[in-house]
Amino acid sequence: MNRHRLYMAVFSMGIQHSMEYRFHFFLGLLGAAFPILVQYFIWTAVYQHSGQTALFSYSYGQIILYTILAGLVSKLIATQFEHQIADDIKNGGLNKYLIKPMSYFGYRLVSFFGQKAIYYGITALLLIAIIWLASARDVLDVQAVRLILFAFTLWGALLLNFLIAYCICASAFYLQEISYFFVITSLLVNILSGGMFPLEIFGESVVKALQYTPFPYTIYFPVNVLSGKTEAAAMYQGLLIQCGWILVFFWLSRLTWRVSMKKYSAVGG
Amino acid sequence: MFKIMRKYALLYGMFIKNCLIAQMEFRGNFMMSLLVESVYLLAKLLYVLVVFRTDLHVDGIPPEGLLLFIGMHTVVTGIYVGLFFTNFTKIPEYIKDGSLDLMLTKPVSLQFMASLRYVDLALPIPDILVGFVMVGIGWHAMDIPLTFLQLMGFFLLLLVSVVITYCLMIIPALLSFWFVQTGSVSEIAHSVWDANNFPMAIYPAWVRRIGTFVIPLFLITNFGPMFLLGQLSWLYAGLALAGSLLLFTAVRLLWKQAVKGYSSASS
Repeated sequence: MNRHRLYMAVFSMGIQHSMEYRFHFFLGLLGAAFPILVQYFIWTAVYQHSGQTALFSYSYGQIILYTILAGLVSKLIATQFEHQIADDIKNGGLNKYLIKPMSYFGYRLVSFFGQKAIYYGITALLLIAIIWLASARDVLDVQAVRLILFAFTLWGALLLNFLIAYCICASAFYLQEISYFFVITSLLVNILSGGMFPLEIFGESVVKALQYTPFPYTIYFPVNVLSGKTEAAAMYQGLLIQCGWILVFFWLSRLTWRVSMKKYSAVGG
Repeated sequence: MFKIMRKYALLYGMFIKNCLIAQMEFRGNFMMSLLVESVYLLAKLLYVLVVFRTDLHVDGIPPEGLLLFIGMHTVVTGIYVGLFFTNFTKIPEYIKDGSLDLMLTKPVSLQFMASLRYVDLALPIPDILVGFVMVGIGWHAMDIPLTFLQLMGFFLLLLVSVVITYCLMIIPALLSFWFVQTGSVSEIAHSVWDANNFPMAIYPAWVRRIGTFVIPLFLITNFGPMFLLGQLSWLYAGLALAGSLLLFTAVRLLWKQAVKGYSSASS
């Protein structure tokens, strides 16, 4: 079997896997809607009380748009394979991949993209509805170039988030009890990526400092590209930086896994 | 009656002791639980950050006063994850693998055994600590007198919160008697839970009505602080207590109905 057909098969397996839990996915979307609603009411109260048109440099419409988009994007890019990888490492399931003529990294990546393909489609539909609503209410000035760049950065965000999680997974070679660890890292990464609140609430210096980390390029940056908060010049620069981080983390994930794999002792299987 | 209550209190004490011993055996996990809950707490404190940075007033209550609400929510969350969370996630497992059979044969109430057997002593520590500090700050800043009556009213309403929390959060677990996979329902329940982080005054009237009378979610964290701020009379506090006991009776009946339909699996 050639490489192309092999990865197509893995991709389609990913799609099938994601469709296995359709109901779960839709309930998950519903679950994601509640925090967004709660935040909507909180921000409404905040803006009504303050009487200012812009807080943290966001207008009322912009912050609501940010909250909805950030909620959607963080759901889209969320990784769920950490526990599987940790399980493979701990219980020796990794053995069967090691002897196969494909890389574990490639398998995980392609299967992750396969799992996300349907989600990406549904999110795209939701996004069209939201963008249409927002532009009808004059919150959003729709520009073709921003839409295209948003689609690009969203794929980049997906890839970057995968790579960050994959690097973190390498720690499963060293740590005994890992499930807690993933809860902590995924929540922290989400906060630092602007998944809960726009990063501006932490203050200007923190936003500046975070620009030097990969995290804003997974949620904060794509959302602001679409909402028009990022300047045109900063948009292209950000895209380049995102690509840079993807390369760095690609290299880092290869390195950490190559080093850690030497420690792997293939127990059980 | 008194004798039965004594027996159950004694038994519950035994559960706590047993869980403490088990948790102390895996101290690393204990520390990890502490850390996990602290990170969740950190995420919650982001709301406090927003409140103070925007100087949010809800219904004339300044940010310091809002700490009463957020603090109460944090305390009750701590109690929930400590006393109930582990049990409620285990109930669907008992039903799935049939280990409920063994519990049925024990000479104690099945509901007591299944829903209160495990106590997590690590998870609640950060929540309860930080929650009470927030309530304390709010109490002090709002110049609420520290009298015996105020304290009693507050702790009475805290008790009401715990009873309602038990009743509401056990429902997703109870559903597993009829449906096998209820993970996503409890996920939704947990995300609705955080709607309580703020005074219900920020929600529109119809949401408030649903949250008070249909699913009494807002009673959990709103009534305590509202009582302290003088927005709630003793009459309503009494009504809340009566309501929570009524709800508990309803859940008790629902549990009995659910167990009737239980047909053991495997084992």
